[in-house]
Amino acid sequence: MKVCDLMHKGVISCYAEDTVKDVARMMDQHHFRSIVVVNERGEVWGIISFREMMPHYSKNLSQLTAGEIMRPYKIEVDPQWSIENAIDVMRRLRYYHLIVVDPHVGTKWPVGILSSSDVVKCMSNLTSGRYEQMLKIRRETTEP
Amino acid sequence: MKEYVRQLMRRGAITCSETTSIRDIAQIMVVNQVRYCVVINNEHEVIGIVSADSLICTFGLDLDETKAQDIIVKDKRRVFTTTGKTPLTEAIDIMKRLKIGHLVVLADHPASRAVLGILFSSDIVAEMARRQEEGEKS
Repeated sequence: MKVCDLMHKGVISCYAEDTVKDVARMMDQHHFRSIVVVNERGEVWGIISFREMMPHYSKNLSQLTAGEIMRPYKIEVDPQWSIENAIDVMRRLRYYHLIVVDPHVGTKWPVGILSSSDVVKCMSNLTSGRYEQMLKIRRETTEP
Repeated sequence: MKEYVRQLMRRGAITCSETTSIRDIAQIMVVNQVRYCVVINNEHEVIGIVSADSLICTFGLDLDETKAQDIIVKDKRRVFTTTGKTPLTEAIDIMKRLKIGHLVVLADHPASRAVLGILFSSDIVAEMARRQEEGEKS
């Protein structure tokens, strides 16, 4: 199994000059766990996850920029990597959101994200969605 | 402004036992759309937490044979807990220092190890966004 089979296609990105207030709003409204910081050419510069956000709890977020709090990101994960390889990188570097870049377009052009949740979903062997699974849970009371 | 853990935590928790298989835990996480599972013993006391991040270490193993207790032992994972009365800034410091995304909130009674709820980093960030918008309106 390859990274491209499990990853989330597409990324949500912001620029380094955007305020942290905007980043917090994006995370809250759209329930994203990580935002990719890109430069004006659309290349990956860094990543902001909840861990980078939390230390600024009591600060004025309008005065902070994404570039100031982001974690620089230098790994280039190829969509053709095996899942085992990606998990090894996650464990070694403690990066649980890997930004997948497209080698055909440009070395730092983000095309998707592979998170630990995507791997867990694969491990669960559940092929259908959440609600289909809930319908399969047997309840004695529903039997006539 | 919310100042204490009890004001921001989510009450209740998804739990499993030490002998629950990794496959079952993965299914619990997917069906309930969570990234953690609190491991409890027969007395309903917290003995550990399994997160999606720690679960990926078992990829490639026999997931029906590997149990929750194997991950807890292998990771030497301590139980990261707090109480509802703890100030939020203190809880955030713990999460930041230990690089974790959630804290298990226990009952305030010192002898009790029962789970009251979970404090998530996502709720902390949501509160940050809400507070900023309220500040703008006022």
